[in-house]
Amino acid sequence: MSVLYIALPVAILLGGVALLGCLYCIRSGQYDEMESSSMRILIDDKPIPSDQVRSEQIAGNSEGGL
Amino acid sequence: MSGALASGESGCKTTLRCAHCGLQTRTDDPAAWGYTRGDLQGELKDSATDSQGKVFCCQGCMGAYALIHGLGLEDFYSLRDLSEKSPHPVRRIRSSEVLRDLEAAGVQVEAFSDGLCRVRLGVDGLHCAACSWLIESVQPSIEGLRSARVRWSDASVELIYDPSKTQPKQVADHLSRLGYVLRPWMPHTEEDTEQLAMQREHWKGIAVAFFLAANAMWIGISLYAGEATGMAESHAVFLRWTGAILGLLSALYPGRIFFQSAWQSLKTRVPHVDVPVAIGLFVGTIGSFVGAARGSSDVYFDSLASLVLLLRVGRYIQYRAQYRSGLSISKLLRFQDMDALRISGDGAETTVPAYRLQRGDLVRVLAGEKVPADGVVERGESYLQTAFLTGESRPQRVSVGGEVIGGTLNLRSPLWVRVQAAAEKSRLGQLNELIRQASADRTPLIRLADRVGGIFVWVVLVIAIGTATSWWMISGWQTAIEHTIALLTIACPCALALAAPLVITVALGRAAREGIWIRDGNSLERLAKPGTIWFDKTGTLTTGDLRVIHWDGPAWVLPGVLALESQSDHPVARALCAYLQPLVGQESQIGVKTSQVEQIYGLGLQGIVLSHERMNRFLLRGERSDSSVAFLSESVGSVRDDSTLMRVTVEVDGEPVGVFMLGDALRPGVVETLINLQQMGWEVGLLSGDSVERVHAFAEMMGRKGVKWKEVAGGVSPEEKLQRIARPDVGPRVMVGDGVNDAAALAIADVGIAVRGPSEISLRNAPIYIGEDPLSGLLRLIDASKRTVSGIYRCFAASLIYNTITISLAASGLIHPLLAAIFMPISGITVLIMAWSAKTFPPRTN
Repeated sequence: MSVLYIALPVAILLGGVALLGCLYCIRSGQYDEMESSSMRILIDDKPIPSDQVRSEQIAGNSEGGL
Repeated sequence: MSGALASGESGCKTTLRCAHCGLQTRTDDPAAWGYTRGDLQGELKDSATDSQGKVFCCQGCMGAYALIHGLGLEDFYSLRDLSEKSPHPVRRIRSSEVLRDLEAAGVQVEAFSDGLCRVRLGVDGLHCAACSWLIESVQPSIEGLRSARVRWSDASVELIYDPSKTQPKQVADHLSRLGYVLRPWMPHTEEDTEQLAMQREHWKGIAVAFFLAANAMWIGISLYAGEATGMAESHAVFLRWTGAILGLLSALYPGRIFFQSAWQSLKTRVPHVDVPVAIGLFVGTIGSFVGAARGSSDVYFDSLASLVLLLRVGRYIQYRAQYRSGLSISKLLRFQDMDALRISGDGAETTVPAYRLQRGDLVRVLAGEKVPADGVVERGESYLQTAFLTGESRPQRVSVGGEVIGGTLNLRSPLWVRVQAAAEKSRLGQLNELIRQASADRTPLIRLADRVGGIFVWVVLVIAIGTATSWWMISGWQTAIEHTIALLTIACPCALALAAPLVITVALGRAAREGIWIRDGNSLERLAKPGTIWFDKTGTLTTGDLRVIHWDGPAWVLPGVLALESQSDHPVARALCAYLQPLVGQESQIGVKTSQVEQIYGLGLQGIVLSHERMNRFLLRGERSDSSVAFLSESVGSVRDDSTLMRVTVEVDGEPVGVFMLGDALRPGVVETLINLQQMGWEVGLLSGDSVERVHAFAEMMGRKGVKWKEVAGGVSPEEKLQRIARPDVGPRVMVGDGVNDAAALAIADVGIAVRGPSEISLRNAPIYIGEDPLSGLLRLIDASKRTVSGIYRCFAASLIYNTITISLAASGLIHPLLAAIFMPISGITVLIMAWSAKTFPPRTN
């Protein structure tokens, strides 16, 4: 008995598991919006400023707002 | 804002774009774009940023720019340039007042056990990925806001907040400074959900098709390799059966849509390219099983699986190119976009969304706001801009007892309105319903690929029968079946099915670079053959705003006129001010004083003007006075005779001294464009809601310059416009009009082209939107349409040549499955290259 009879079904089965994972992602809506994610990845996150700095910034800059 | 700058270079008169929103600064039409007059230019003098010399269109943009910089989020601007794919909608920034009372607004708040609350709100002003990034990035700077997650697909944001520290209203106020307006959110409409499900279905199909095709292909490769080098028959049988099962699955799951649409096509007897595709798939699958059962090498499962994959990808591209066309275009002016100030019995005022209003409610409509529902005026008098419904270019006066229609714009002073019909029951709601029905009844155009495919299927069937009979006669039924199966499989017109969506998709991308936004790719196919183009008048053939075209009279009265008119916000006064301000100059205005200024309804404006020790009573009379004609010198006879114009007579101390002629100026190049269109074989018609006399006078004036109208109709209601366009005609029925005012007509026409109005709203109503320079854009669009169709034909030709070769090979019994496996993807790739190289939008030759 050749190894082919085991290897082929196993290979397809493993691929099938990956396919199921992909289908799960699609069904859960991860592919619904491709725009933001593709952009978001290009921008580095910045450290979140501490509360004090933040409120100063907002106070100092929002005067020109509507 | 590289995109906007680039398009600005293509012949626009204005100088700089706003650093925040990209609008042209010093625009001549501030009112239409919804920001206040004055403050048109400003410079940021904030030394903390490196933005010296930035130009803004208004204070709001300057504030937003400063805020974004202050929060360290300037990446927004570069991100926006990266992701900019749609025109910038410019809108009036509405207040978030409606969120003050969440219960009245119908917003559902979900409270968690840990004290946090979750709410989903709609976001207005979301137009690219940068926007959702910005909203999410601002979240840490708002105290008490734990999370803000934007969902792009339905323009909504989910807020998780601490109700003891903040409320949605505060969050909304904060975001409104950036130009985003949070609104009570209407859950998905049925169509939206359907579209989303559709998109997921496409993705799933492609994923499965890809999996099956990849596996079938490597099994195929093993078989071909085994055939060349020799392999045990038991292995070959095993591989063949595995491959055949994969091929069968591919035909059954991702391929089922082709069988379904072929079945539909047979049932309705409308030719469709899926019929030959389905025959190919069906016969190929049967053939593979027959081959596997008989132990022959004639198995096609790898070609089949890759074919299904290619076709599914093509189908998805096609779906993307027109994916919103399935959406009801109708929601002309959605009630969820409007707010209402409802006054309860005890006099308390609450802001509620317009769709929450009910018959009998009393609402206050402020100047500059839209009337939220149909009703009767109980208090106040004002002017209403009804152009969006009636097309009437001049403001209508309303007073107590007068009926108002929801969606019209209150121009002057507050009105108290008793609601008679709101939301779906109002005239606007019924118009929406009318459009929905009309669009549903519209017979779909049979597409090129389907027409060709329809002929193709008959030709192939005839050849197949010929092949079967001749091989049966020559060498028996077994060979006959083998060769016929090979022929039918290989004749599957994959390239034919791919060509049209590819060419159209490429053309759409190029059109967008030209400032022409096409939502529905099929529209492009329809414009290739001449038919009838209906034009709206106001705002389409004309610029749409009132302008002073001629002034006849002494110069000394001008400072006085300006001083008087600047105190009124009547559209005529605004037009006069715009004309006089540069003419009069700052110095001559000094020392001019007015008193007893009074607006007389139906007559004009009067007041006493004091200047340089002179005191005169001025009366600025509206058009009804005919005495003014005598004041026009003979040289301006054409202006005098032009009855489309409106007159304002200046009377000083009871004596008429001068006259202004105001009108809606023609867009540059109108006559040339119309004549050009006629030479190309199009017929032109005029459908306007403006008064019958004005429309006919306008049509006659154009007629004298050589424009031959097919039909001229004035004073038509949106419902009548709809009926006129819905009437069957030779060739495609095209409507060119305002994206908001003509939404009904645009939705029902074979091709609706919006040329004015905010881009986002227009694209919701019409499949095509031309932002700048609409008339030359229209000519380019028609040219591009012809080129697109000929590009599709070229791809068809290539596909048919390929099919002729392979079919003749198969008919003569020379085709081998290996050859088929190589040929099929090659034909697909050829079509791809041809689609890409089709010159749908040639570079402009200036």
